[in-house]
Amino acid sequence: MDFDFAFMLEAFLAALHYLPTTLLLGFLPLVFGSALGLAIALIRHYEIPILAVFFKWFVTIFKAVPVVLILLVSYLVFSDVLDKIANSLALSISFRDIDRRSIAIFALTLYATSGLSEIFRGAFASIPKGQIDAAYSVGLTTLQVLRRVMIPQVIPLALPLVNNMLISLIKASSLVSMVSVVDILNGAVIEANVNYRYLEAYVAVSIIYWGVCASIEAVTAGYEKYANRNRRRQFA
Amino acid sequence: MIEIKDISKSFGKNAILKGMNVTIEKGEVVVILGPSGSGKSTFLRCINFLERADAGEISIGQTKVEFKKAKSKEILAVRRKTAMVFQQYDLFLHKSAIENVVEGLIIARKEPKEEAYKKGLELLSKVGLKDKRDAYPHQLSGGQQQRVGIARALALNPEVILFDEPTSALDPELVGETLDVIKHVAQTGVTMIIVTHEMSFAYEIADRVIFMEDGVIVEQGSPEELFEQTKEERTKQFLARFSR
Ligand SMILES: Nc1ncnc2c1ncn2[C@@H]1O[C@H](COP(=O)(O)OP(=O)(O)O)[C@@H](O)[C@H]1O
Ligand SMILES: [Mg+2]
Repeated sequence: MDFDFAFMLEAFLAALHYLPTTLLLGFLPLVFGSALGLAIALIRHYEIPILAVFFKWFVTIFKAVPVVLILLVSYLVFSDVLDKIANSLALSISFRDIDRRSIAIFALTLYATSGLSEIFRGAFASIPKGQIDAAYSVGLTTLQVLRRVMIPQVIPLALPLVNNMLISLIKASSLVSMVSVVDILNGAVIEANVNYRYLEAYVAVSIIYWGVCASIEAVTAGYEKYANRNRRRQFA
Repeated sequence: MIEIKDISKSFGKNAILKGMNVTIEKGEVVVILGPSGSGKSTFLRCINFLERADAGEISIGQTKVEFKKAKSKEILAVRRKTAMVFQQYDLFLHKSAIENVVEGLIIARKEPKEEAYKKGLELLSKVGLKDKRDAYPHQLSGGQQQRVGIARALALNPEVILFDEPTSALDPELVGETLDVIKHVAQTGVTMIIVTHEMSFAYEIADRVIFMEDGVIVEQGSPEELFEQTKEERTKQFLARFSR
């Protein structure tokens, strides 16, 4: 078996062209998912009636469904429903016009939201209850307790897991070719379709994934070191 | 003056407090004794609305509220006149000693930062921890953490400080220093309700001792009356278990 390094480089460059797409598919769901996940975690932590039960089921379901299926179902639902709704509302948008990446972002956000809500919920539950009592006893309101005592302790606890989620999202984004989005993997494969040198293409893409994930790890590690130096994170 | 009338509280079917009446004069130090599970913690936590009592009312200074009906504003008003020292210290782990002390002042009371820190530092000196102002809870011994807890309560300049077994979680050799700080604070005229199992401390510090069991007050009186001229059989049995 011969390995064509020159072609690998070519595939590498072709794939690199789509790096922004892959990053977008990782970071946007992370940001949306963090906001929604935090909200769900709070709703469940404070046991808000009805909503807490609703989101419990939401999380249970989305935790069990493979990302590919969330992606495919989102695609089908969008393609089917969007035109109908647009038609009935006499809107001039159609499925053909919308960026397929937004469907991928939607699907990955669902996946991220359920995972991140569990991460935050676990972190909230691990704050010793006594500290929260103490915060109320010095006269803080519920919102102040959340902002001053709970959130600052939840963030550093959750951070390594949020980091793992980002890496999962980056890797899961390789599935988006199934809804005809071109990401780094798909970009390299398109290149290899000409000469069937898929191995070179796959190796090239692997290197990019590795580079992205290593950079994310490095940034997180740097942040943790910084946080440790400020001693905010060292819990008893 | 603090007046607690007819307070009762159940958890599910278990009646924990069964209509207790307690009146405390300004500057009075009241010690509550009682076997484990008799409702001492629940009593203190209800005063501070960390638990919601089912019935009864509290008047403290100008504020008078019914436990059951109290709205969040009224709850906040009561909390801002009371402070609590916890068995497990329960310091904010992500904050330094001084930050623990000033949190209530700056955030709840909206005091200017500079004044709050000045007051906080004075209080840390008072409990002998001036040089630990920037230490985090995990860098402090249990006794030191509890003294920060006491400074945190004092900072609020409350009408009453509620102590829930402040030395029960401490290693024996650290109990003394903590009790000394509490005695010292008592001498400055702060009103206190203290739940403790330290009998000689109770004898020394209390203006009045209350013995409670099963959610009711069995007997109360001066330390001499309660420890030396004990009237009730149940109190005698309880005290016999602590050989003073
Ligand atoms: N949050 C709670 N839920 C249910 N039962 C509780 C709760 N808190 C306390 N209890 C029960 O109330 C009783 C009195 O507890 P507590 O007030 O802590 O007693 P003490 O402080 O005198 O030891 C105990 O039987 C305890 O199990
Ligand atoms: Mg107790």
